[in-house]
Amino acid sequence: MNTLAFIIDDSAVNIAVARLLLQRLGWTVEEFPSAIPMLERLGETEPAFMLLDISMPDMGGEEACRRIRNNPAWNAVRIIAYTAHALDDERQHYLACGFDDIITKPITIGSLTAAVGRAPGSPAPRA
Amino acid sequence: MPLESVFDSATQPVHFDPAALRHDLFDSTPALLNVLRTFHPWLADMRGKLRDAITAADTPQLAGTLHTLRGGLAQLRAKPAVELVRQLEATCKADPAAALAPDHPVLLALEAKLDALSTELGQFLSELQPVVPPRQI
Repeated sequence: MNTLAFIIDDSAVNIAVARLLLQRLGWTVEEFPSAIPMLERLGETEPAFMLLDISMPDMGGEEACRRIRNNPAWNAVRIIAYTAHALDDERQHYLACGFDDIITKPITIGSLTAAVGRAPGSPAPRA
Repeated sequence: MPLESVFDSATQPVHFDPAALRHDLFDSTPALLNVLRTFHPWLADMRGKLRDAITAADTPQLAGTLHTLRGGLAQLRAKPAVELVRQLEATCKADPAAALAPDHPVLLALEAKLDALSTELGQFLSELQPVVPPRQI
């Protein structure tokens, strides 16, 4: 069972929140401040999904998503766009780019649970 | 004093909403402090990048920095600051070739708002931090 999740975001604050929430849902988290080291890591290990920020300085989320989708070896990875804005037409654009879902910041435990659920085999959290 | 009582008795900020953020974080005060301790130096860093982009008259860089700043502020539910950032982002995107004046009224309003937020966050952390040492988070 793959319980690994990647978070890719240039904001330490957004990474901190996403990490806490995903760990609460039972996922093991690896975090990256940009898409470039994430793509290198993807050559070594494959997560069940990734939260991929759209706007980052070195390589945007759309370009990173395109590179992943162009590699047949990585087709099983779910890619969730993680962005401060997602109007209806932008949602369609991201889905057409190859993203599987879109989460709008601020993320919440509800939006994250709806998008990725609990890690397989993880116990329900304490109240 | 129990942690949650300390949170309840702390002065409640007006420039961000720690209760809403804590609710997102499964009502955990240690998790809240983890995020706030990350946010405080991050905000100072972002403000430095903001000033650098304005000094360099680099509007695309400024737009990118504003966007990142908005994401972090949104997570703290700092709604008034988020709105000011949104206005500045729109200004940058409307005319990427034009430099934003250092005395642009919305920029000055944002600076004042972020000063207030930073001060308030520091006070809030000082009330809660002695109760929750970093190693417990």
